[in-house]
Amino acid sequence: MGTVEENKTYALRIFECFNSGDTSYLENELLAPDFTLYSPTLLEPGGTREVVDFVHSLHHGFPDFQVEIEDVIAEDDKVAVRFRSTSQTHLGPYRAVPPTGRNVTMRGVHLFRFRGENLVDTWMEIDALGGVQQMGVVAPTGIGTLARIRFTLASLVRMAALEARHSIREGRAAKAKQP
Amino acid sequence: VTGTEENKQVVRRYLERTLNDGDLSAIEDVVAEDAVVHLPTALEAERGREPLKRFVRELRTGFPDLRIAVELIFGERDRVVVRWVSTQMTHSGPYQGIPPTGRSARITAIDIFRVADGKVQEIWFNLDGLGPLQHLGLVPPEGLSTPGRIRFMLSSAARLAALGTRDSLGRRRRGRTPEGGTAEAARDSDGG
Repeated sequence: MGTVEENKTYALRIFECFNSGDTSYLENELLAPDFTLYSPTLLEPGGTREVVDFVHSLHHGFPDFQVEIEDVIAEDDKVAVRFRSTSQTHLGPYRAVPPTGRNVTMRGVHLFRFRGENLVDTWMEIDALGGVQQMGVVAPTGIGTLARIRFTLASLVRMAALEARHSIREGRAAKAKQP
Repeated sequence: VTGTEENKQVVRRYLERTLNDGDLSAIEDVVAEDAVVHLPTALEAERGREPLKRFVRELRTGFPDLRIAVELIFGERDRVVVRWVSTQMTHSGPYQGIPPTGRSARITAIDIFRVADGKVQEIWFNLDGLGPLQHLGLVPPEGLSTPGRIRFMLSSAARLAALGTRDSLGRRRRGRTPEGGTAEAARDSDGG
């Protein structure tokens, strides 16, 4: 088994991959063959593919995505990393939300469990509700029923407008690429 | 080093007493008076026990049968990390402006506690607040396309209006004030 200090180093390298969007270290070196990912966004636990998809969809939705580590806590084979995004502008579609152009800050804690030089388990927990509230697509915390209905209807109209704008831009970009 | 094992016990007991039993006195017993509290969706930290009471009340008002289980707990120095999941969570009270739907939800969390002198000094609550809203049918589920999301939101607004109407009619019939809002509803059910 790796030492606590070694495990912390691996955990920091995982975050370097999240920031750069380059998952080759995870795919080719770190992840154990039986690697398991637990995340609220997955109905069933995932594996290597789900982690790679996670990193890529983050960078697709937020091309400037960067997080800052605020705390690292380790015991035996486990490491927890608490982080906050420092740059996260919603410029691409993310989880079926068309780009809103808003700059959001997301906080979270991920847990990692290592076996030797491999990562065997990851538990992800991000304040996704805070993120989608900042995008303005989910009603803010503490709102009443009527206000929630009004918000949902207004958000509906906004989503349709954002989607239309996004489709037009995509269409133009595709046309521009044609020889 | 003294403390880490005791700190884990403090955190485990705190979560079980507050979230499973709705025991707000656990907050007085365990949390320092000027504790720093980082709540989900709030970008600024708050101070003291009141935000914690509000948080527990809100959750247990919406989901009075809430039961959670600690899946992992570990620590280093004065920090304790805890992974917990709900094992039972029925939406039978108002939650976030959503009248009771009777639906079953699920929540997962990874929280960090800073404990010193047997008291909690700082808490980073980090949980999936979006999940329950999806399970209650108020926020589109994962994997929908944008047109699917738009259709979902339209039917969600209609459903919310129907639920709200039913809820306020029911209250009027029982002779209570309609449209209480979450804070008042939480106070009503604050039995201890």
